[in-house]
Amino acid sequence: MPRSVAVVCKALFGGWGLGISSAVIWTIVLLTGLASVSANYASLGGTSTATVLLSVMTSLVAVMTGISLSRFASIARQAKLPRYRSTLLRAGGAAAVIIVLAPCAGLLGLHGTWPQASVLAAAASASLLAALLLSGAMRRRLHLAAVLLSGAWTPAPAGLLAHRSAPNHAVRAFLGEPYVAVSIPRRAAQLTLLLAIFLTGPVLLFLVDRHLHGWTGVRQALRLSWRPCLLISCFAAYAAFLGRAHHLARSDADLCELTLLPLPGDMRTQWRRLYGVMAKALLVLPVSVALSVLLAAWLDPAPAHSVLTLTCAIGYGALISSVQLPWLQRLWSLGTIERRWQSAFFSYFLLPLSQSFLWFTLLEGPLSGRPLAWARVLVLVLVGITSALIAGYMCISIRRLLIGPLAVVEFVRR
Amino acid sequence: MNASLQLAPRFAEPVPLVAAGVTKRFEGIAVLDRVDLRLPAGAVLGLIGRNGAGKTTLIRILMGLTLPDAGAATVFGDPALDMSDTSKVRLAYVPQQPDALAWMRVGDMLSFIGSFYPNWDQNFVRDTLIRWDLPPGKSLAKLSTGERQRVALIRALAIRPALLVLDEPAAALDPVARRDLLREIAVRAGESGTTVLFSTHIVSDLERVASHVAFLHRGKFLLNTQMDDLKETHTRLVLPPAAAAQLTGTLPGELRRRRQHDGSLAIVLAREAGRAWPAAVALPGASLEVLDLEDLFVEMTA
Repeated sequence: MPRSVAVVCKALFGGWGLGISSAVIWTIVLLTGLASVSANYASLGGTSTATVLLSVMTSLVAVMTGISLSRFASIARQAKLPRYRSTLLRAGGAAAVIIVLAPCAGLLGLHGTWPQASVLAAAASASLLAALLLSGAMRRRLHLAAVLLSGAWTPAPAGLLAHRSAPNHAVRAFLGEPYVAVSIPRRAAQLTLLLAIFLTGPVLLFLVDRHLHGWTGVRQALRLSWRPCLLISCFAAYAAFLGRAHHLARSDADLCELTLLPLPGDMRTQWRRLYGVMAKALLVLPVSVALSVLLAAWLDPAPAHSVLTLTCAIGYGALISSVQLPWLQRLWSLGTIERRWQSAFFSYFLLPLSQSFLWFTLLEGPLSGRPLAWARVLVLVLVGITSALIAGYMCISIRRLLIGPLAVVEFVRR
Repeated sequence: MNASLQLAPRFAEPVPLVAAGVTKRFEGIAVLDRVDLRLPAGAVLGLIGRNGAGKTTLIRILMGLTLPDAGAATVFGDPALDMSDTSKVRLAYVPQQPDALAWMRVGDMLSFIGSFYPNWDQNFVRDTLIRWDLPPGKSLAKLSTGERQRVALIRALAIRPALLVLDEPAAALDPVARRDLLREIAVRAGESGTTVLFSTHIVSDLERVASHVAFLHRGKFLLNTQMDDLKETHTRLVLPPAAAAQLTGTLPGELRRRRQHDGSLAIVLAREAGRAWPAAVALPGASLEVLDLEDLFVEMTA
């Protein structure tokens, strides 16, 4: 029985890149979010708002679980895993309970109505279904975000050795489509497109529920959901970078091709370029989130409210960082001896850390006076610790890279 | 036996490809065991071996893609692990699964790669894409394995390499494309003096184009010879049970010995060109059988 539970967990959460035990932590994330909504239920404006927030949150989890399930189904089919159909059925049932039934029960517990619970169930089911269909159809291709970012590459004008003068550009091309240099307006347009897609959900939910709130509900929906939707959009765009990093290996055909390309510089230089290009792309989002949230915290004219929202935002920022670390670790381990405990340690450290931000939102009422000051100090300290840990880990990894075997050369991990 | 491959150089140094005492172990098991290889300019070496014999590992070490546990490889005199641009420009390598830059379109990928090579032959690319019916506007990810292998071959041949290394290039090709590839290899080797190393399971391919052949088995070279000398220098001696009973010890030049179901003994023998076979061939009932390449491969590796 425990083995069967482990297989189901693997099916549901294995594709998230964090391992089975992380499922427990992710469940805590979901429950904490639910508790956070519950605690702030009154100040957030009632059950319709709770419906929207829960829908956004469960949809995100549903998408990730759907992708994970789809990957598991594919692997199980290829490996001819015994009784994989029944395992998949069990995993599907567990997904339905976690993603659909539990949030609906939570909403009803918050005095939500049955139509609202139906809307929440529909949103979660549609997200799960969409993730299953999309990941199934595009398994051999890039992530949805990568597809949205496609068309970035345009061949340089014909000219002999045109790319030799821009080695970083060549490295980006070999790292894959998401890494290819794109102008800032184009990236902004892509992010806007993603944001519009994700905002459609909450707006539709309010339109369905308009008999309660009328058309003004749309404005309310936009006001409430743009922040989480922006974070989700950033993460979706970010997934393309993470996905490529996750699949990077020394036996990778792209890396072999890159190694043998007559690119200026020795192999160590190429390795540094590869690392620089990739780490820069992977660190942009967490650093941006941390900086923008800190800035907002100090500039917001309504500090009590801003602390509440920024703690949520920083919580998700830390969450993203912790999710990103195993992927970054893949890159670092290319030149070093792989140590799984490191990524596990940081995941397990940062995930609860992110939850401390969320628990902070459970404080009832607006903050003022000493609690507000403490809140600000706490936010700064936690962000500082997180940043220092990530920076320290990077420094250790770079040092190992420099003393390790040659670049992009396969070697046995002992 | 760990026969080293010492082929006579046709042209002046630097030798395109050299491996000296290359050893590689995976989880304690030797995949390559002190392998020596010296491939002179203009040679077409067919590397043949069973699955897991170490062909791909040897090729990856020769290309500087895998770190050997011992020994070293050089390409045009440069260490394989730190090749200069000059060597890289003259080298083309087609891996077993050419999945690189799969997100690009065929034409874009070829023009992108072409921009790094001064000898890039755009006319060859254009003509071969048409001849092999490959649409330049199609994404590489949407091509079949065979089509992708053909694109990789075009990419390799278009740089007009002095050294062409192919890891099972014909595995996913249809017979027509395979014949085209072999013809192209023969033409390049004949006209431009391109040095070629290719691994394969298809013995008939070797017989068509290879000037030299090497059997790799359990991490060691069992055989290295020129194709032309193969039939003259290798044979199978079959001794009936009575004659086999008279045999003591191993014969000079003996490579493999196998007892058959009827009690007779089959012995694969090798000799240097012009030398006589050992005296055992005159034993009563003994017979010598001519071995073709496939027979020889099976005898030595089964």
